[in-house]
Amino acid sequence: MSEIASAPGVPPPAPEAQSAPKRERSRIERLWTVWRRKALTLREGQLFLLLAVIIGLLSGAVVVCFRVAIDWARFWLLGPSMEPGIPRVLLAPSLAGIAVAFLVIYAFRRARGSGVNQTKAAVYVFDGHIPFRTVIGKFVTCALAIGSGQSLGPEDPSLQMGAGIASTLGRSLRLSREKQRLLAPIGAAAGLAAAFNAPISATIFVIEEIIGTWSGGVLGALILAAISSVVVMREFLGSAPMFRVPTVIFRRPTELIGYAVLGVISGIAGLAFLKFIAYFRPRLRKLPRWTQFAQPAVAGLLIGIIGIWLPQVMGSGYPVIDQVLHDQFVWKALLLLGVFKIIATGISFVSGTPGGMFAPALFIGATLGGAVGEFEHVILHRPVSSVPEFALVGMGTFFAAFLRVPITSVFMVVEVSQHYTMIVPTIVANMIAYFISHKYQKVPLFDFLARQDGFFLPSIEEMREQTTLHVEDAMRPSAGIVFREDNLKSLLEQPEAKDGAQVLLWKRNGPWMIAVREELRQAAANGGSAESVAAKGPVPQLYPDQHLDEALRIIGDWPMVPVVNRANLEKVEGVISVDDVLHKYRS
Amino acid sequence: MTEPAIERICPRCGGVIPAGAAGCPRCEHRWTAFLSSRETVLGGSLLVVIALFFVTGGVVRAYHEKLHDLAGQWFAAAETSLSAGNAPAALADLRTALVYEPEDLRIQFRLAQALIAAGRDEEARTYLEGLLAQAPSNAEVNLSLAQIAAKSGNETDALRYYHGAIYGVWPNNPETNRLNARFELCRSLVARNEDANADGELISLVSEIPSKNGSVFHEQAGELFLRAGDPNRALAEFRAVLRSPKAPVAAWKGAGMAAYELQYFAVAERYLERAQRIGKEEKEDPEVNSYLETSRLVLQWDPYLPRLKEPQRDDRVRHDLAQAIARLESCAKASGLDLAVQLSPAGQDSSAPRDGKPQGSSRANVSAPDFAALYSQAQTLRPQLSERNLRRHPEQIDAAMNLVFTIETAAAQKCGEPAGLDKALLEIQKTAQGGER
Repeated sequence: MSEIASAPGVPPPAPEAQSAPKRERSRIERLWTVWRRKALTLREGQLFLLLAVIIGLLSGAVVVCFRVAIDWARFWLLGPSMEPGIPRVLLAPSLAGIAVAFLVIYAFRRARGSGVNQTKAAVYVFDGHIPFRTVIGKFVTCALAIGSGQSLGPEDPSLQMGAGIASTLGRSLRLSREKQRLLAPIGAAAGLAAAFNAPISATIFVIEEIIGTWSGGVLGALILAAISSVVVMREFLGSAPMFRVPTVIFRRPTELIGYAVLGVISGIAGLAFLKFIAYFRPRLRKLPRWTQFAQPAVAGLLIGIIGIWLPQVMGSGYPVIDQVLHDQFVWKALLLLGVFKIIATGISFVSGTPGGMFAPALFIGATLGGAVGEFEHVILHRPVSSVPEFALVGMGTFFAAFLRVPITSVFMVVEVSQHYTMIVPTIVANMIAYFISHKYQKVPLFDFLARQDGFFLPSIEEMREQTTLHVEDAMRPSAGIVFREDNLKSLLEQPEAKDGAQVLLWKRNGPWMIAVREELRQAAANGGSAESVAAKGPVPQLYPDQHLDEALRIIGDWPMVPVVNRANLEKVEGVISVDDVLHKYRS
Repeated sequence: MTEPAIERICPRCGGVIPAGAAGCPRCEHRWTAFLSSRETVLGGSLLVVIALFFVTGGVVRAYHEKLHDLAGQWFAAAETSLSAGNAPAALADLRTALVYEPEDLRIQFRLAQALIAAGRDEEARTYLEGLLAQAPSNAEVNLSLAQIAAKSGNETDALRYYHGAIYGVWPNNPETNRLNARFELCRSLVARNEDANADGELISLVSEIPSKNGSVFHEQAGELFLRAGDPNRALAEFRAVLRSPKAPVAAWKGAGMAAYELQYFAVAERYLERAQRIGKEEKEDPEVNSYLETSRLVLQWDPYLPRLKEPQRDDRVRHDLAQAIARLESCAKASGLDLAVQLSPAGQDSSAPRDGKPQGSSRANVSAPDFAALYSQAQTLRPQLSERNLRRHPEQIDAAMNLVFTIETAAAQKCGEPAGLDKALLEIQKTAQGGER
């Protein structure tokens, strides 16, 4: 300010010409500036955590409005009955499909799809940039699509909306590119947590699917944002869990056979669903442009036709999951619902209708699980029905097979049931389902969706499976290279080396140094000490468990670096040089 | 400080910094700088949060009202369906209501009741157990679970849930509802023939019956005491009801039956006559008529009644024996036995006592030779029951009556439950062997 005031060509006003109120105002401004700098200026870390809370609060409120909007749309389009009349069932999804297609094509192009791979693309390709327009578009189009009965869920769009809000806030604050990249996943966690009413699962999903690494700083912000959004959601919509899970019991270890069977069935079903999407989505997108307007409407009509007989498959299907958990269907009906939900969701999704896959995945998993449980009860004449248990485990199992997030799927079952009773069957069934899906479909859902959209994003699953190289993998033995200051005579026993060969010298209570072997040898032969030899140092040291990329940074320009034992710094495990690291990477 | 001579892009706002200018004029403008500062953006964000909360609060309030209305509409429809006896329609309506108000315990409980009405006890049990987990002291839920457990024969659970209902929290009329739950528990125990447990529960129950307007409960307690085999307490309960000026027929009938069980036949006759008289105004009760007839016959033909004159008693003994012989003959005829053939010297039972006294008053299985022996004894004894002989040998009265009782018991075992005087004679036997009057 003072610079502007004293800029060339602008003569400063004479002090006597300044009026008293002006003087007073500049004094207040100065005071404000000083106070603001002292009291309000936040360090980057503090700002980040505060932002996480604000993002959580905003995302929570927006997701609450989104859920309400979906229900209002449903009341308006399908009516309040759970089994609407045929005209409504056929017309509502078709007409809403036309409206959604126009909105997506003309107004909100980025609102298309589930939202997870778009968020991931934003993080890895667009520096975390998600336009606020996308948030609005996602809100409107998804509310209309899901409310009209398209077989899609609100969770993935909520995730993208949260990420969009975070991105908008990050841009407003002109945060660094790195911080803006991190903000989008934080918003994603907040959005998903509010939609799912499950902060832990949401946080783990974002780490497992979007970020891919467990970083302390980000984890704190993710949890803060997720919890803030869930608090807001519970404040407005109540603290009841997503599903009213009845008391579930894991009765005996032999039941694990049934859960293993469920794992196999869910794995196959998840695989079939993945293949369906992978096959039809690119083919439908290649069709002429005019068909893009009709595809959501045709999908809506087909779902409406299914809905005449099975209205349960329409929409997100949460009430039906609740009914399945309370053992209200026979196994044939459950099987039928599961199969037709796969078809209906597949149709909705490949047509380009915006909406998520989480709720349908849970629906399919619950119905398949319930069918296995009911089958076991009826056909094998079990004394007690295990439908709630199987349905609950089935939700996690299909989730693991279809979305390929095994850790999230286990935590989700625990968080939804609010009990650890079913964790063993869940892990067993999830592992089997995940293995089957992974074996026959190498690229996970969100990765192949991104690839179909032209983005080659890092596959978190592949990252998980990659082995990390450590210093111990690349180091070589230290014999003949490392010498102690007090034992230089041992050098005389060594054969002569070519000119310029270097060794590592360890000085007692001092650092590691690099010395020329021949100079050191001569000093030893003359009975001199290491002090007479010119040595370079201090040389940094490494430990065997450190990552190679970290080692590369530490080695820098040093010709070699000692690798020492963490418990005994005098014990040299080996030495490592840049060449050793590169050799290891090449091999 | 020298200013660059070329235009630059402001790294903060992206605007153009003119050549020669030290800083971005837009960013350095006082208001722009203020508005774009982090503190302002953060403050603005908090204001947006507050505003959004207000908007969301309004939206959610309207949404909840809508859900509440919808739940109410579907609940009302379900009530209508349930009262019309259409349980499946009620179930669909209640499930829809539950979608809109998933936490409403009233709807959940009604759904469970509708499931019970539709015979889907297992589903109902799942719902009710969920409800019980939320509200363990809810007496209504406990009662419904007890009913399901009792129906499925799970006695331990039934007892536990009945006690949960008795000691649980009732939303309204706790005293009455608790009593009703106790009555239901007692009915369940009586139905399972756990008479001792039922009697115990009933004894503690009657102490809780309110003194005011307690007639209905006393009547129910009397009926249950009677079924649990405690006619003494049953009579006391019915008498409590009969104190009111307009006692119902059931109370008179119950009192009569309790008195009958206690072999107070005169009292039973009085109560049953009253029950018959009041009942005639409504609908005749064959049970009352039967008990009344038997009571009257007992009073008419019991030779052991006190204050009877000797000729009167002798007459009754002779009449009772004649009735027993007739019963034996008809029973033998119905069973295809010819007592006349059996009476021939060849067929005569050598084991028949010479003094004409029967060998036992009751036997488990009565075969044809026994019938013949009994018939033979009766025919032998009959001429000995003259007035003169009985005066000389009064012990013959007991001998004759013991034979009568043996014949009636044997005939009842062979030919089924008797009626009329034969039934009365069995009642007289109970009185005589009980030794009390």
